[in-house]
Amino acid sequence: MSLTGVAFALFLPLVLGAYWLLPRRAVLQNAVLLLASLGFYLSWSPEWLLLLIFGTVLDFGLAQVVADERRPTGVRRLALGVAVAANLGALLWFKYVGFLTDAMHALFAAAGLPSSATAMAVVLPLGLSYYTLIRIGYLLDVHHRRIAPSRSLLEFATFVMFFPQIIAGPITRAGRMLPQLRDARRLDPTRVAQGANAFLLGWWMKGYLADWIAPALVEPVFADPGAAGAAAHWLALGGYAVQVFGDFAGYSLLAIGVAALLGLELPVNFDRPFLSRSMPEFWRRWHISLNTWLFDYLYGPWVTGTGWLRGRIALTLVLVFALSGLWHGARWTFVVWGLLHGLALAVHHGWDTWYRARCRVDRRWVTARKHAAYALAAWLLTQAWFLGSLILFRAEDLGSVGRFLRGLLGQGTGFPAEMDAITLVNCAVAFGFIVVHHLLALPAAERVRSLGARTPAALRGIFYGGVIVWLLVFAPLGRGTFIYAQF
Amino acid sequence: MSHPSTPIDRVPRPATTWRRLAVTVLFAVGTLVAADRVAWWLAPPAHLREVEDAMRELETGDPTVLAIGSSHGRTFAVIDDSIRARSAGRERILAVPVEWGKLTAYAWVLRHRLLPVLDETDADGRPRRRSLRRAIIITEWWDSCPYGSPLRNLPARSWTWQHYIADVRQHGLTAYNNNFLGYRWSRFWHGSALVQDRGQRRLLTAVRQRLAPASAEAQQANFEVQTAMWRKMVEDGASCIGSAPEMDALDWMVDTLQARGLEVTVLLYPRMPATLSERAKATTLPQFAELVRAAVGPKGVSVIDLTTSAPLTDADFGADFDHIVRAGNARLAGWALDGPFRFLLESRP
Repeated sequence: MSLTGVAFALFLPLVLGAYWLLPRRAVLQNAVLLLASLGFYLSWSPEWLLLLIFGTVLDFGLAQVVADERRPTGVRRLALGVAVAANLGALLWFKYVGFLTDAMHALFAAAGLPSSATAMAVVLPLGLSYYTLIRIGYLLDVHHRRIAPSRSLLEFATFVMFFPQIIAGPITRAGRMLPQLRDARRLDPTRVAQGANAFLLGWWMKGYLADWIAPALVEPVFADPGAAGAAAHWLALGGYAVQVFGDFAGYSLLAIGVAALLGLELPVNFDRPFLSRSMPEFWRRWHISLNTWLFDYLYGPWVTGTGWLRGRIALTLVLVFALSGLWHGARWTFVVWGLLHGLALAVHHGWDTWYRARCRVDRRWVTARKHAAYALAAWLLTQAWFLGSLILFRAEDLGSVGRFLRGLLGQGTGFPAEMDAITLVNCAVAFGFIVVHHLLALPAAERVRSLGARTPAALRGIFYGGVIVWLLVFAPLGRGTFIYAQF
Repeated sequence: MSHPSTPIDRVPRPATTWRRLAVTVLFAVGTLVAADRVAWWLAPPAHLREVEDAMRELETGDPTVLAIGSSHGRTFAVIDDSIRARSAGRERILAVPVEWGKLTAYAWVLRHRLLPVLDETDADGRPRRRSLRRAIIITEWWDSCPYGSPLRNLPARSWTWQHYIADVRQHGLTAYNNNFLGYRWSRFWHGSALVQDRGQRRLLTAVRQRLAPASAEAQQANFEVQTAMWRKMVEDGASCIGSAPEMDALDWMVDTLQARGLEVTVLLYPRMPATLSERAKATTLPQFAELVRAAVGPKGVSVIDLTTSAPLTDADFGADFDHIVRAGNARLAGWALDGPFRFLLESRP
């Protein structure tokens, strides 16, 4: 059941009805949410529901042991180790066993050794990458005494399996969600308005923007990299940036919107990433919930801990981002993609350190950094790096990456398909929206933003009605899949 | 790094009230309704006969002829009007159009939708519907080619809720069975021109036609592009016709209908003349006709091949180059009942 599909359009009112019409008690509301979440997951991946339930119950139980100070430290650490290992073990098995056996086979072959390793095709349970991080985050928070363990299995299971977030995030934190689930939620018009607004914006970005751009500009070129002309390749690359942003930021907004309609607040996952002027800034604006997770549970402890990585910032950045690439998918293209971003962050760290040192001895360096030319160059470099890395993100294998790069340089000719006027208009709207969406966040657009916030309800209604009409006319039919749900 | 405390993607606004929210919703709905009225005026949605309409008629009626085929089967709804008028209601055709169907889809509809009703008996064990004597299977070369993926229109246009629930219980919610929900959703909003236009682009075509009507040259160029595409498709058909599952479905339908004492006829549906090249006329079309004759001829089934012999011109076909327009259907009905389908008015078998 896709968040933009018809089944969900029937499912959501039923859930909302049951949720808000039952007596306002946290336990009843959580029970409705848990039932709805089980039903939602069942509709996607019935064969893996037991794995989800088993892991959730195991983590709930072991977290009690981890938090129990009456028990010896060794027992508590063992409980934590078992729980984390079980989560990572499931992730490793389902997501990476095929990749690892393939890699081993290739390694043996390269060394001229006989190998009996055969590629294993294991189906990835839906949402595994997301709920594994959610649960590990919870266990570590309990271990470090950042939060108290949940005393209610219903509450904990509702948090882990919460249906808007389970297949593609945002990756929520227990410290943020559990307190919300502990108290009964109240139907609040402001939150309803925010939820509906986020849901409509998410639908626009996923159901219209991403789904228009993909078949018009992206898929025909990536299907045969290098065949079309340079312009088609550049458009496909720009289009893919719009597609992947529309798809994932759209999904996050849909999830945030549904949660708000249920009186819950999910973390923001995207914050106008195309305004970023450095790679660290970019990763603070793109897939925020994953990057904060990586920062809080991997990078931070590694760099500030007592291990070998202590103080080795650049190396840790490369390592963490290589893992981030691997998290996105068990493919070498993702690993290289992650390494490239880790490298970019490491280089930026070095540059920043060097530049700050210059600033301390000569204030002109500070002025230079505030200059528009510096800002423009930084912005161009950041966006070009991200855009270039998307070739790896989208390509099936490293060979396709090479062909696509040659295509960018004009090896092929023409466009793969002729575009009619309607397609051209919609592609222009898609690109235009991304630009306006980002520009509106700039301080210079403050007046426009406040004007928007003060718009009379009637005008606002007409605007929303117009958006829905546009979606009815132009949003393509039958493309309900989300890129990030595959990770 | 830490979680931002302000939800940046949700533009911060002052707290709202239920009244303000109600006004917003009211105006949004008003805008939608107004836009829908405009869309209705520009491109009114046409009601097309579907399997569901045929089932409703069958449940309350007693037809003498069953005509089943793809969307082309809708022609027989027009022939039904003519035959009723000519026979003073003695002959009644039940036209069952399975949109975007193939022979396997017609067989599914026959097995799962039509037969349970046709085989109903009264308290004495006698068939409830005793008038049915003839069956016409409407087909063309495309119906015998493999589709390559499940026919999404089968769940959409032919399933009932029972079929949907059974499929969900067996396979879970899938993209395939979701077609049923999608179609039901669309039918639920049958009064909305905007919803009915989803995926059709009739509205955009109408708007473009009003704003900037296509010149004669542009129309001619489009005609040439379309005919070239169709010609190639029909020519290429020679390499895919006669797939075993589709031909088996035809075989099963003929046997099933004959086992119920029906006289079966297979009609090879007329094609738009411009879409048929000489090569197609020498390969795909005669080869498919021969396949059908070889399959059903020995069972005593007559094959009426109107692919190129119907008195239709290019103007009798719609903008999709596939379906016959209302006036063309009326002309075809008159001609058919005077000619190859005259037997429908004659003494029953």
